[in-house]
Amino acid sequence: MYTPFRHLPGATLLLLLILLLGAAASPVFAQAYCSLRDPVISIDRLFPEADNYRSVVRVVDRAVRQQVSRELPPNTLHFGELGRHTLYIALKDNIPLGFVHSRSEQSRWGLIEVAWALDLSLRIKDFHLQRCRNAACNDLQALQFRRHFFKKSYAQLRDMLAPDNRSVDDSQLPLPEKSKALAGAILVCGIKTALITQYVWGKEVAEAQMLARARQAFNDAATVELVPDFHSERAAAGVRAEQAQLARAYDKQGRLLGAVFHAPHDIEGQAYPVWWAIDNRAAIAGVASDSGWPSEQVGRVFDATVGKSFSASQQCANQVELMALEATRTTMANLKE
Amino acid sequence: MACRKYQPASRRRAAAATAALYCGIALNVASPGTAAIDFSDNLRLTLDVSSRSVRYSLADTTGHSTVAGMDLHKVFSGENGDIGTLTAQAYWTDNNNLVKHPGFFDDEDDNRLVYRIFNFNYSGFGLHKPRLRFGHMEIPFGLEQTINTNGTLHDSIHGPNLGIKADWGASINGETATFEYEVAVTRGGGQTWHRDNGDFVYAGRLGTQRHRNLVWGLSAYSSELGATSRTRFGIDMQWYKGLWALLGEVSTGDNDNQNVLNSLLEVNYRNPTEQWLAYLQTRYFSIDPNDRGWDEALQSLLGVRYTPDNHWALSAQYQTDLSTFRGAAEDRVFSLQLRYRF
Repeated sequence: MYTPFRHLPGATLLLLLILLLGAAASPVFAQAYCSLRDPVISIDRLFPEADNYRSVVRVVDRAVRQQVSRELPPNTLHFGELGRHTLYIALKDNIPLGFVHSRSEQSRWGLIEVAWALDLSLRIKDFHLQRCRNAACNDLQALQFRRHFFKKSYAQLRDMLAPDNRSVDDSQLPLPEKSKALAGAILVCGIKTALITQYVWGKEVAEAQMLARARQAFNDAATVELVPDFHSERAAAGVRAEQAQLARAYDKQGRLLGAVFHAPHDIEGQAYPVWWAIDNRAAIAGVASDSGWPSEQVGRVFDATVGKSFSASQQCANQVELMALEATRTTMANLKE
Repeated sequence: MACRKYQPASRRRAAAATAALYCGIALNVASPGTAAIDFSDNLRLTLDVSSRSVRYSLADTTGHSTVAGMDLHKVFSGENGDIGTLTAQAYWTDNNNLVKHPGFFDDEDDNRLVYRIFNFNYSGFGLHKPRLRFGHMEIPFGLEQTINTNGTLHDSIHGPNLGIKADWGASINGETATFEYEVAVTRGGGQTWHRDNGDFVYAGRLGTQRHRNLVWGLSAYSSELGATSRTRFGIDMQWYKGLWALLGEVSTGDNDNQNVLNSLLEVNYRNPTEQWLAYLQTRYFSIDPNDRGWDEALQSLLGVRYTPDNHWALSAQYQTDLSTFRGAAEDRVFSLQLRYRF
């Protein structure tokens, strides 16, 4: 009678047992890992200005599947979408340009695989069909279709969905009958990608955003470190500090250069995602809004704070300088810690 | 009849080194943050176990093979980008009456540590630059380069055609906007680092990008393995249409100056969820010994694989000889495999 493993030495079995315990916590991937390849061509195509990339492997688990099911019923994640997946950060001179995330989506022609390019704010930059075996692929790979996704956020992509949550809303984007099913699969894939990237890689996304901002203000910035659990209950001077993020910026030698403070700012009745770079002597090194300013004039008022320091409200001549003071106070309190 | 055999010192050393590597990784993974390098970062690590039973009609016997090992994939990354990828697949393989087995097993009852892919691919030169691979790798030739059949019943003609499927050595590999390529120089020892004097393998493949629906590749190969020298030039093709695929490979060259022509043709089908794969494959081997006329062998295979989830893969395959070299008796082989990835 055949007995498996009867030739195995005891020590080997023990080793396998140890490794099994180590591997048990690691969600598995059905295919052998030697089949994994980085989407080098897609990164090159989606970020032609990039000169390198960095991989970040994280687990897409059942909790993420539940999140997708809650947000996008009746969609869920195919078993092949679970396990360890990679987010690629496209780099130019070591500065993050955005992200590439390859995801597969089930279709009636098998799995389609789409490489999505996301900008630093997780809006769709572009996409590339890496694997698609349907006659409509060429039509939907064309710029004419792709441009409907450009600069769309998760919420804006969701608005493109029909009420069934599986197809493209005809009233917004009329398509030939033969392309409708595939277009729906691509749209769902894009929505899942934006959702999962934020949910699973939120910390890495925030770090990449902060590093890109830090490099605009501090020429020598090489790394950033997010201040964990950073929040403030204060919402002063129109700065929504309760939604703020703070990252310390360091040079190559690990010397602290300053920090980047990011929070929604109420400007002319609307919230703008504004960041302040504050150096380690409490001077404003840079300021910008991720979504632009309401007007050039407002932008000039913010720009005028660069190079100044604010330590008391008496120094502030306008609302923008009060915002600068609020950002400085919160930042310096954390830098001193 | 199985028996416990003496293991040569080189095998024992290799097994001990591999065990030490995996132990080190397991300890590092178990206590991240305590070591200088956190190995658990960007790591995929899976225990991979499979059991295969093979029924040989001609010998009227059944063989078994049990395989257990680690499948490890680790991306080393720095602030400036990725540095490279370590892929380490070492499997303890225990054969029992496995009448037809790869040449690196001493006999049908041998057991040993088998290296599949075990290499480091350095990518630190940048996005548009070539990569350098060191270690145990598949010989870059033909279909196998892109479809990858390690550990599955579904196979190409890589081993029988080239005399070696994977080997220790180095390669340059990369991708351009249109093509992908790999050129390798390896030692010729196959599973072992040891090589006989004069052994070598040179191989390379240039192909269109594998994600396309029509993929073409051109390959070249030259080797000296023991007493046999081989050269091959090959062309391979994959065409995907909906759920169907057509795969083909033809190579020609010589074995010790005897002309050789080998080929493979496969039609396969996947269901929309891709849990099921069914394939029909024909393999053709021919040799012209000393220009005395071609001797031919033809095999046909029918196989199916079911992957219900990320853990299980169940495969079955029926292989029959339609003709054999020198009119040898024709065999029929039925194989079943159960694989589980933890």
